[in-house]
Amino acid sequence: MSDPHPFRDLLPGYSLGILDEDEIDGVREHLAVCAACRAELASFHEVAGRLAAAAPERDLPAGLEARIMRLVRDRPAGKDTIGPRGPALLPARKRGSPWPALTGIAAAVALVLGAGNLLQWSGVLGPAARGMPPRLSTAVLAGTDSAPEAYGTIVLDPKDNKGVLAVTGLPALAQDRQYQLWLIRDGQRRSGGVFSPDADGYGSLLLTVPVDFRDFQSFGVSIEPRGGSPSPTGPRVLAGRL
Amino acid sequence: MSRGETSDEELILRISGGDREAIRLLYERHGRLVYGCALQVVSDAAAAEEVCQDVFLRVWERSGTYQADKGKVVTWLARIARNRAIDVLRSRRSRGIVAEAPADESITAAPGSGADPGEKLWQSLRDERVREAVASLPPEQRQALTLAFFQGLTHRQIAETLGEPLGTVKTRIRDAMLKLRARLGEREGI
Repeated sequence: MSDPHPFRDLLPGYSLGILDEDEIDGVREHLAVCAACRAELASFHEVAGRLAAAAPERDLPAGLEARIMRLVRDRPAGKDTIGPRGPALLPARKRGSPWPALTGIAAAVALVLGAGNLLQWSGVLGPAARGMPPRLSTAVLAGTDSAPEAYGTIVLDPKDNKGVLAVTGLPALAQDRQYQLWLIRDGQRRSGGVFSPDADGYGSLLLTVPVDFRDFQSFGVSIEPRGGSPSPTGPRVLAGRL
Repeated sequence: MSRGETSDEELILRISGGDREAIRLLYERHGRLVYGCALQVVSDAAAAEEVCQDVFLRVWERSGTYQADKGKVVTWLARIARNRAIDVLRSRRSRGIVAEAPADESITAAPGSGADPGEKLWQSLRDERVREAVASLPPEQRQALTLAFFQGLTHRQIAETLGEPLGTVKTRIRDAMLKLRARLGEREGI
């Protein structure tokens, strides 16, 4: 008889967010159908919480409360999202092709690049679907709890600091809202531009940044007022690292 | 919490209804812990400040994720803070940026080689019961737990760091968490 709880031994590590990428999917799938393991995991979450809550308190930086309250004022309070996750690790890749987003959203990329440019980039997308072309960098973006179906890819050419973002699975937005890409370095966010998804949830954006893309360690997409914001004010819907 | 003071659980309920005073009170009550928790991991005031901000915004936007039957608000907050701080640490590590002491301090020293790895970090904990529970772990389990909890190293990375088989590391982490759960749950009902 097969073990009804094949991932039980991994639950402490899952609670600490220290599983390797190839283990996470299996644990998540099992948790979705096993109440006993969910209860077991909750007990390890509480242990991790007790360890964290025993940290020494430190004096708060001046101005932090005012900044948080300013940000709170501009955002709606939320009630119903998924529980606090472990550290993000790397965004979980879908199974199968190592770069599924590239093949799945090639149409969106083509729309962004235009037919002429697509010829130039065809040498990029083809090899990328089989393996990483050496001179390009990619970042896989995973949907957050605010947009769990969203998934996307940024393809960057460090040679001329140009790239393209293509995303699928984005929820439709109100007329006065757009998605905004953020390029993040040392906690500082630089806007990468705004875009609106089509009726099928596809969105895309051409990127040009006057610095080396590789200086940015991560990327995010948030919902902002139409035209964009100087810094993120709305919920983050996608996140990923270079 | 003094008599008549609003409980953390009530604050969370009010936050879910959009009560900004409630999130301010929660920050006033637990901000120092959230900031301290983040600082313990990232060892950098600016990064810890950003984590702290992120934690309270997350609570504002996702207060519905709190489940009172699964634990106290304060442990929920602290866990979010630790997880966010680990995200920052990993991002830095991926870029080759090494955190400064104290988070890195001698935590990879071999068990039995002198000072207990991560001893200062564990000894700095405020909760005596937690300190004692961690101190009761065998050194090799405590060392693996230190690398996992304060550095966010995966099982595989811990195995590589310590030069131990992957299975051994997994067992150490699991056994450490089971022992902590048993000890902390004796009087707390975990």
